Amino acid sequence: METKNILIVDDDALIRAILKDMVSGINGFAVIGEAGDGLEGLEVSKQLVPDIVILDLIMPKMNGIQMAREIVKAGISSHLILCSTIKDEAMIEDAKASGITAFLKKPPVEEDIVSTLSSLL
Amino acid sequence: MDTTKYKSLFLKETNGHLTSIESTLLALEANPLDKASIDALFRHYHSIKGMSASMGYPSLKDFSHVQEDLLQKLRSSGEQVSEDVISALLSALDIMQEIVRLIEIDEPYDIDTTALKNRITELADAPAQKEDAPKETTNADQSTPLTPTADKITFNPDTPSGEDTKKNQPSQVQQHLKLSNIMKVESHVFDDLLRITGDLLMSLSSIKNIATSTRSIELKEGIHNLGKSVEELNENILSARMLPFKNLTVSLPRIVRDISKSNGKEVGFRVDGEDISLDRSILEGMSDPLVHMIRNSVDHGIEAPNTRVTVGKPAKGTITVRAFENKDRAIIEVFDDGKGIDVKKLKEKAIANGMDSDEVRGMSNQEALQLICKAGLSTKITVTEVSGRGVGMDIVKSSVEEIGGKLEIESVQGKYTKMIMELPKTASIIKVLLLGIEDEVVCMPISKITRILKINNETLKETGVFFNQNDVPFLTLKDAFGLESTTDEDESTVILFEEKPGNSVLSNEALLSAMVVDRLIDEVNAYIRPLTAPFSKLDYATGFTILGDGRPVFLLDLVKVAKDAR
Repeated sequence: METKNILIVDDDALIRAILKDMVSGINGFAVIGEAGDGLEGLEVSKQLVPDIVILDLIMPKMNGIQMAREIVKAGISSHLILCSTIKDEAMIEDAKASGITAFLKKPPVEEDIVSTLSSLL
Repeated sequence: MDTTKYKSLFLKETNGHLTSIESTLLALEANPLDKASIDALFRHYHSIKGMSASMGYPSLKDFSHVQEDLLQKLRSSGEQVSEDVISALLSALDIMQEIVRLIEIDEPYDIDTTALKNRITELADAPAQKEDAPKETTNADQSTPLTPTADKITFNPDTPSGEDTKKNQPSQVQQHLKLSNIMKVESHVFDDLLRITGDLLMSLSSIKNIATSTRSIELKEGIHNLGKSVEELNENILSARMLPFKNLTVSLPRIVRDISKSNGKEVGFRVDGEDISLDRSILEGMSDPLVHMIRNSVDHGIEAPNTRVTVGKPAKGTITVRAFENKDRAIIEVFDDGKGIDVKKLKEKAIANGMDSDEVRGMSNQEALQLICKAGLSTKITVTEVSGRGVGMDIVKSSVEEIGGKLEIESVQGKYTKMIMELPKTASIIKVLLLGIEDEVVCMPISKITRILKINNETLKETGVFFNQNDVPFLTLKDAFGLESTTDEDESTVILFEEKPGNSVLSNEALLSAMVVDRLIDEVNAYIRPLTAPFSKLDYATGFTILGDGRPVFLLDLVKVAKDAR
């Protein structure tokens, strides 16, 4: 089985560290990069073309939904997973429309990550 | 999830957000429609909420959540942010800082935030700006302590900014363990290190003495090399103890805001030169005096807005803190464009307080201004009508002197007041010369010495000290100390030195003076410690050091010697 490469985009270094540790513990996945805001996330996505991007919603410079739209526009076919505390319907609709295919609640819980990522294998 | 390994990251990130929240709130207060500030604040609260949820700190999570909600409302309404909102969020910030501090030291953070949470929720639910909203009495905490923000000194030999430099580059999967190259160390460790190197330097000088009588070149060489290493160690420790002045100034805008709000003044505040670095102990020692000076400037310097307009000044006053370096000293000025100090009134008070009236009348304005630092004079003159608790400038002055500094005051009535602190930049280990006067031993900094002369006692009596075709004023320390002469030497040892004969901070007029001592003993490196009560009032002493054999030796107050020689 080929290892899936993951990019983590979140403005909080703490959340990135926790996500990275959790993901690294799961067989078949490797974190290949991190970014601290939406704009940086977009740039790094273009460079690394990861299989999966786990992205935050509320970030400086460019939020998660804007970033997802830009990634789709750039023709990058990464799976986009939104990791956020916000769960109102309107936001979920916007997110789906922007190209996000899966959701993780925040704070991240290991079982959720395992099941969400496994569904992408 | 075991969160302990994430704790330091949590603290670092959260403290960063809290610092930004404070400055952003103050910026928003100045510009209540600034959308960028509102957006930034929203993200800060959102981040704190997310991180505390991840770490399992539910009360901090809930508390930041209500603040985030309030910001979310403000974002969507596009309204002007009211003063009530700013005040409530600043009070909440204080509590969050306290919670984070308690988390850091592993104490329970059981703080009741209910009332403030309700208040914030109310503000979020309130329709547009209520004019008559009950003013919250977040009465400025008049005793806000100002301590260097870092209780710990971050020692980072590689990256000066201490920034997480990995952040911008995608990291490869880590296949080896890596320790951070930034270490957090309790600040007292650095105090111990400094004390130990001080002792080391003293022991070294004792050994050097003993070694003068040896013929062993190897031993001499060994001691020489040891000496070089100890000095290098000392320099490294001194620089590791340095922190930027910014560590103190970061809390000042908030303090100025709170004090000026509480007594109806309008004050613009600015800091220049906050990048200069000083020893942590010096920063700690100057923090209270600095806050007192700024408080005095707001309380007694800056006039009420309408008074200012009447005398042709802008309604809003200005307080500027300016820091700069002058050789091995740091100068910190607190300037306000307020009403200045009434010298005439000050002189009258001094005379009423029992000072010699001729002496007081003969004083220049500049001299008379320093009277404000005399006990009993300052409080009466500077006591505020509003708070009724002016801070005695005598206490400010002695605090500054305790850390080896000097304080000077400049003022023009109706125009401005400038308080000037001159402070050492580093904790002081200096080269001193030990001097014997009868059985007493004192020391002086070698750097001050111009020349050492031997003068025949008869000549000294008849013509005094004559150097480079000039008469040099001199003081015989034996007489100044009130000691009986027991020596029958024909010659005296005379030390010529340059020093300002008076406590003027900025005048650079160091003049040549001389002092007569009995004998020169030795040259040593000494860790100079400040004098504490009851010795702080000792004449002719500004500090002390402990010799290798445990004897205390006082550091001569050359300013006083130079003054008394005249």
